[in-house]
Amino acid sequence: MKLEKARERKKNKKRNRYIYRSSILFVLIAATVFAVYSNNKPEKSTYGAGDDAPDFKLQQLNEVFADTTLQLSDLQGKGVMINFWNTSCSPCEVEMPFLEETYETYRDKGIEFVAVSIDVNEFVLSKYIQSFGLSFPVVQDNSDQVKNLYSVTKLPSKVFINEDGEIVEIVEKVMKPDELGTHLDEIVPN
Amino acid sequence: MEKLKCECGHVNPQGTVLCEACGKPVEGNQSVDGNDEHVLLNMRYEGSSRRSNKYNQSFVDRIWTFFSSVKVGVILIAIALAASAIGTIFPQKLHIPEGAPSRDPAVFYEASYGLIGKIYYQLGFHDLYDSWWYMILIALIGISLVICSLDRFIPLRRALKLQRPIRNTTFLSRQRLYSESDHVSAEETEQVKNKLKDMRYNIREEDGHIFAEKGRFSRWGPYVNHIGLIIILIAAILRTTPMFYLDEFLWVREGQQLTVPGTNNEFQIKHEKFTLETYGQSEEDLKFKEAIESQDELVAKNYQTDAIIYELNEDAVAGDDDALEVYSEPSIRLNHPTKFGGYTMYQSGYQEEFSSMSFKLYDVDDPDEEAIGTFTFDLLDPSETMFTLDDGYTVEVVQYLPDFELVDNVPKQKSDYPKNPGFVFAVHPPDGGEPEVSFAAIGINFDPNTVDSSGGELNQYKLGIIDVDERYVSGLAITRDYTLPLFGLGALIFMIGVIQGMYWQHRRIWLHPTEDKLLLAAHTNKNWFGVKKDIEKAIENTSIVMAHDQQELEDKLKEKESDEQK
Repeated sequence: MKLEKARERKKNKKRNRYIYRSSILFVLIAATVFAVYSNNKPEKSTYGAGDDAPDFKLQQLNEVFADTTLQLSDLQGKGVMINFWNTSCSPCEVEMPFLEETYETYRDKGIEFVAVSIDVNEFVLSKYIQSFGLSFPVVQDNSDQVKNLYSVTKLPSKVFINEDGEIVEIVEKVMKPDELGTHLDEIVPN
Repeated sequence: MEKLKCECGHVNPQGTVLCEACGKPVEGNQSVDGNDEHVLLNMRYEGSSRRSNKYNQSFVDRIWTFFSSVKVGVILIAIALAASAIGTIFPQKLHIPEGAPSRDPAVFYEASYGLIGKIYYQLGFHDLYDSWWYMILIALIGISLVICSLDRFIPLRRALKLQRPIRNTTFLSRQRLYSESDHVSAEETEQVKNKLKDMRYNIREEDGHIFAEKGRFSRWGPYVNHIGLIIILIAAILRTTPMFYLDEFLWVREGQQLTVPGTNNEFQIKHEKFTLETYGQSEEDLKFKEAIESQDELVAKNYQTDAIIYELNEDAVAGDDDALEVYSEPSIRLNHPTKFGGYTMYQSGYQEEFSSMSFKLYDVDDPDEEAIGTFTFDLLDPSETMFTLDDGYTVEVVQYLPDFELVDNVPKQKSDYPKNPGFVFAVHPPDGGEPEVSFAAIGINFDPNTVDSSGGELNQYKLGIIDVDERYVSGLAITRDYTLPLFGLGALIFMIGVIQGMYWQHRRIWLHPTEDKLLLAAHTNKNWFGVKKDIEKAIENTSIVMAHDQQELEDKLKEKESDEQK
């Protein structure tokens, strides 16, 4: 009887020790994993696919829409592609001609382009728009507000937004014309 | 598992070296602390059972045992130390010099340091302090610290709690301070007891055995110290999250208004005016004359950004300037940061940049290059691009590249900011004739007709730069650090632990009457001189023999032995 009790106690003790050690080890390892992860994870953008695209309101620079402001939320009901770029970015320059071409095709399907330039120099920007004969709206984000809002780190970056104002995809690289077409087809309003 | 039952009746856990209650050495376990080779007992951790490495071990137990070894901890610290040292041999990724031919780490290390540099880069030493393996190494040290402490603190506390006034005679005779006295009267013992009490010893008695103890508190010093270290490590972990720690940088030009990075678009800054004062401008600086002259450059005394901080209404639409409210109008000076909404903004650098350029128009045939007219062009945000000069000349800026470079003889824009501005001008002569086009930049004044194979007429007019105005660009660092108080707390606890362990001593004195003798033994964790003085004072005017220092005896014995061997 005594022996049994002792054995029972021993068993309990062993189990308690196991729980105690496992839980302490668990906490320590979890803290390690967290530290390594949070130190090495890539800069996360605040908004991603599935989120509502945050609204902004900026001055138009394209003479086609002279002296108007553009507010993103006004474009609801249309598919919207936001393109972040600036005049000194040469990959962006490569894209410009076919962006213009593509715009002409997709405008009638209910898609709007918004080119958000993070240029500081309005004159340089206007000259650029003229030289490429751009017909889509170009807005200037000279305080970096919209760029920061969308956590843009690379140029060009494109945000595809559907008719409900929801982000479908963010692409942070130069696109080929057919690639751009595929992405645009996804946001064509029904 | 077998418990170890001592002859005093106390049941010790497996692995005990010295009985928790009476201190009798447990036979068979003496090798753990090397007691079998020495006359004196090793009193480390009271001879308590520290590691249960004699059990049937589960996986968890094995990991536990691994980390509970001080040897493992020391090796980990040694590795981390070596790695940290290696990380300082070559500059870290972030500190690759600005002027390096290539700042790409993949190129830089091999190009600058050869093969060793390449190996250095490939092993990841170029970004050591953020690399995952370095972090894991530090984390392992943390784990070792926690487990080592727990594995020692708990048994030590238990052993100190369970110790009884009656100690085994072997335990006593193998203490460093020990003596045996004959014919000690009860009054004398009582007298010693009272003296010890006066010296603030805690006295416990059992069957005439007296146990005096002082400063047990000192034994917890190392563990308090470790708690401090663990808090510092936790603070370091939290510092990797943007919630607790943020560090951003911003270049803002005079007159420019920018969103403050890292603030979730809550704040904007407008740079109103920059002030740079250098040494040597005021009379009181004369005393530094020599020091100033020994420097090749101007020495900045103060640089300061006068700015306006705007706060954005919470539910405002981004880009809507009407939603901005002035939060403060600070002057941010070196070492005098401004604070807003939990963020601290420091003045931490400046650059100079062109702000505007003045040109003159002249006739190429005029040897004096006398100006027909002059005009000034704003380089950052030009509002005027057509300039009407005297005598009916008009100059139009057809194209402006703020920062250009020539790629295959074609000017390409490199950045947005006026670092190397280039212009295409059209000069409209007063007679309404065809405009002349020319390209001008610093050191360049180019007439396209000179290379035009169609053989167009050469330009009659040239534009020359006559003046350049500069403006300052202020470098501001934005930080938010909620971990500092935690670091402070950790450091404070660390210090308390150090003081606790260093300035107090755990002294114990045992008086053990046997049939015909009185055994006196004492132990302290440090300052043996102090405890000897305490004993001397306590046994004054009694017939008790002063305790001998057996360590000294042992040492002398050894010396003698080795002498004989020679």
